[in-house]
Amino acid sequence: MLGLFASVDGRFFDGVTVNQPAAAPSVVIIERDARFENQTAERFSALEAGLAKQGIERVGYLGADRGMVLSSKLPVVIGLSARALPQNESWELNSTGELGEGVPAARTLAPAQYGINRVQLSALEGRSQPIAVFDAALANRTLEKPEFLVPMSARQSIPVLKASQLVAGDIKSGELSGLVAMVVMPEALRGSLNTPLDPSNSATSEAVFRAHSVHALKTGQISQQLSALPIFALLFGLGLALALLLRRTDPKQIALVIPLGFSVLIAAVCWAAIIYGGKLLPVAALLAAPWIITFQRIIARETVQDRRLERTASRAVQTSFSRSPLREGARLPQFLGSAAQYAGVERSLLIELKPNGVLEPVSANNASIDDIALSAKELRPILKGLRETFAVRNASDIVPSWEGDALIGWIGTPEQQLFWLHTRPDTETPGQSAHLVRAIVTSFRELFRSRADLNSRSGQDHRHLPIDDKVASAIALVGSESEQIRRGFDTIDTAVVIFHLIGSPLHANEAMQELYREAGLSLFDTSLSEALLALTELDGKRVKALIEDLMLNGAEMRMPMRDLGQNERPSQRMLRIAAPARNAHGSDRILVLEAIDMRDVNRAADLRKAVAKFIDLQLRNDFEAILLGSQLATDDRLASDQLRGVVARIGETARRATGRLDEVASLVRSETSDLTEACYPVDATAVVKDAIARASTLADELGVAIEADHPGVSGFTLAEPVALCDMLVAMLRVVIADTPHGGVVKLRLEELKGRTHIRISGGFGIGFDRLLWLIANYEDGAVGEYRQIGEGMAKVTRWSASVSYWGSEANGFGFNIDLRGVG
Amino acid sequence: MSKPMTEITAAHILVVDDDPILAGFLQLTLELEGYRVAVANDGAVGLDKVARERFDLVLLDLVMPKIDGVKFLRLLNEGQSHRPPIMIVSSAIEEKLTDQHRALGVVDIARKPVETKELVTRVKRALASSIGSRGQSAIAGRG
Repeated sequence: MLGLFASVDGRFFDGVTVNQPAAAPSVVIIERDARFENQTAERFSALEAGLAKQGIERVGYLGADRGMVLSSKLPVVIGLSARALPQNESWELNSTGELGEGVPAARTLAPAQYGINRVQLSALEGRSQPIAVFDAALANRTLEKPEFLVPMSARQSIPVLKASQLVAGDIKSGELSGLVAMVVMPEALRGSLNTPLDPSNSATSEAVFRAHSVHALKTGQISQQLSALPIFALLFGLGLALALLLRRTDPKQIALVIPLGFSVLIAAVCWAAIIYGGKLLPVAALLAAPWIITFQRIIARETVQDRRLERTASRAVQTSFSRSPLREGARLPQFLGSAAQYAGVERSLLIELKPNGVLEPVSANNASIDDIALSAKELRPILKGLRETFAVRNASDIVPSWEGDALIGWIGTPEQQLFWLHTRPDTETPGQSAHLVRAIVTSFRELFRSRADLNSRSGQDHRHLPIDDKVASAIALVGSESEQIRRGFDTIDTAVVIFHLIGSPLHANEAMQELYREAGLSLFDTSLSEALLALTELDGKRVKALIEDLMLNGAEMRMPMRDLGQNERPSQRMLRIAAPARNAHGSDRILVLEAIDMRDVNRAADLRKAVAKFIDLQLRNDFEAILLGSQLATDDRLASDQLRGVVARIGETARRATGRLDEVASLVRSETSDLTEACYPVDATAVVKDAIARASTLADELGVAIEADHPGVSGFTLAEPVALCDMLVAMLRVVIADTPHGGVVKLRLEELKGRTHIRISGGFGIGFDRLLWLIANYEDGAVGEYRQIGEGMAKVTRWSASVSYWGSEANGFGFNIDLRGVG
Repeated sequence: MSKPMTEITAAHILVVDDDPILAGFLQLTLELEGYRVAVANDGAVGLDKVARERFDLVLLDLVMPKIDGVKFLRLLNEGQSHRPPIMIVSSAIEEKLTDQHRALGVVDIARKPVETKELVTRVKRALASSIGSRGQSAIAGRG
């Protein structure tokens, strides 16, 4: 890994330096050409003289010849080969004898880095003191840290001249002023090294590489790598900064942005460090760090989230199973058997195929494991074919003793192989029953699998599921059960909303949602206190005190609900707010707000009151007859035939009284909830008066008079007074709305023998077809009153009553209600 | 031979009640007491009888079909030149005679059930009060 990093670092350095702009040459290569070499030993002195004439600062001979005669006009460096001493890590130069004024230096190259020569040394470890390397000696430069990187710009010019030209004076003097000259043999100019200039073709010569090295040393463009401590500090600092940054954000969301951003920044800094600082930073490690740290943070967070999810999943299991009738998973099979019975399955046998191949009965309904006629060996392939499929197979050959068709299907989990043998449902509606059986099987399978998934980590004998799968199972199960609970909630007549302890709404059933709509409240952002302020007459101070008390002490409180003014009938609702005491100190505390419609309770009370009145009045009548009859029966003055008649009538009266009691007995004994829509003997005049009073507001607004004709004392009429009154009000409002200003709407209540007749008439009138459509289509959203009339008409048939209507344009219209009289 | 001027004749009573059994028992009870009794099973028939015959007392039930007792009283006071005294015998009323009742010609209110003896006594008393108030010839039953 470190090698890879070093290689990347080197490539980065190459990329940066190769494209650098060129600088004025500071070194010139002098080739010892054949013409020069053919001259005498004094040719070196002549060359040096020529070089001195050109203004060369220093001369370096890459390699020394025996008998070289050097002048002392210029500082001379002679590159000699060096050898490593075997006893220690130091070096020594291979001497070639007397070098005169020449300074010896090691003609060595640093090893290539992964095949690329980009590094050079400024000195070698000598026996007693460092030995300068030729390049550094020629550049007259010493470095504290000997290893350095040679920047090799492709644009950098390295002039090459022939030594013979200089000796002959062919070069204009002063041309090479300030440069150093590297005198080399032609071999040193042949390509032999892989350098950044041409990394794969060994096209760079030793002389050119050294010339770049000397140039860099002279111009101070060399780069050096950081030592271990600064690298560690740099990486640690970067890691720390990244970790802190990622701690404050979601690593998943910025998994790409942060490392990418850091990479760009790091690359820029590294570039600048090379160009301006002469330092090669550990660019590969620095570039890798943001990615590694980001993904480590993601993994760490994922691990934490997994643990949290697992805890949540466990909680979901608790919620789903512990608090439900299915808390014992072992009971699931029993539920399957009993549920199937309702669908008309007469015989059912749930069997489990154990891992050792043994069949065991799990639950049985009117069946036994002995009913299976096949041997385990014969049965095993059948079960294997059904395993983990949704297929259902005819099982008549498995249980031939069962009458009718038998079926078998797999309903287990990969860990628990359950197979259900059952008879085909035998009901009057086989299609529906079969559908129900399929639904039961699906439901069972889902529950069973969910339970197996959710409990998979708790037992050693279960498979170990990834947490995501467990959570998915928990979510699916909780979601499904939540939906079922929600639907159940919606069937409750009472309006209920549940709040979190902090007062934010958790769930409201449909009845409460309707109530919120009536009150103009938003279900999603109305707090408990806001709801109480809107729905009751309490002021903010009292609401605050109320909630405080409930939160601290639990229990419940009741208060009258504000009349929302949406209905003609005034509101008779109570609000009950409760914080279940058993949860008062729990972490999952809730507050429940319930709107109880007192009309239902009052309606039942009215019913019982009316029944009592009916019994009172009717029995008083009957007792009067019995009393008079019994007195007459004992009267001596009565003739025998008269006596017989009297006794017969007494009996008739007693039977009549008993019949009246029987008529209302069921109402008296019924549960309150069953009475809300029951009909009973009511005072029709009182109902009519109530309806007129409720409709009079509209009549007054429109300047219409209601002319009522009803008995002074009413008998008993069989009806449900609230529904009857609502229907009468709707009828009155329809007719009133159609009556011109100053007109009259008539309402006549007539009590005949055994019947009560109510007639409402008036208005300008609308066509009968239109009237018929309006009333007949009340379920399709007919407006207000017509809808109420339609609903009322649907109800009156339950009271042995009927409603008829008529209408024609310009002749008015009206309604006849014919009700049954009792008593 | 002419009848003496002070000859006592049996009082004529009309029972208006929609319950035929009870009306029959009332009729028989009062007839045994020597009164002449007619029966009407609803308010409309009762009004018709009052219009055609002269009654000394009307025993009136309140809860009746077609024309109930209250309406009967109103119509009786509106339309009839002869207005017999009324004794209400009903289960739908308290036994408290008010000026409003008196104005409508009600002389007594008996809430069902009423003992025979008490009923007869109250009928006698009602007849007596009506005689006193109108200054007519004595009208009596047998007792």
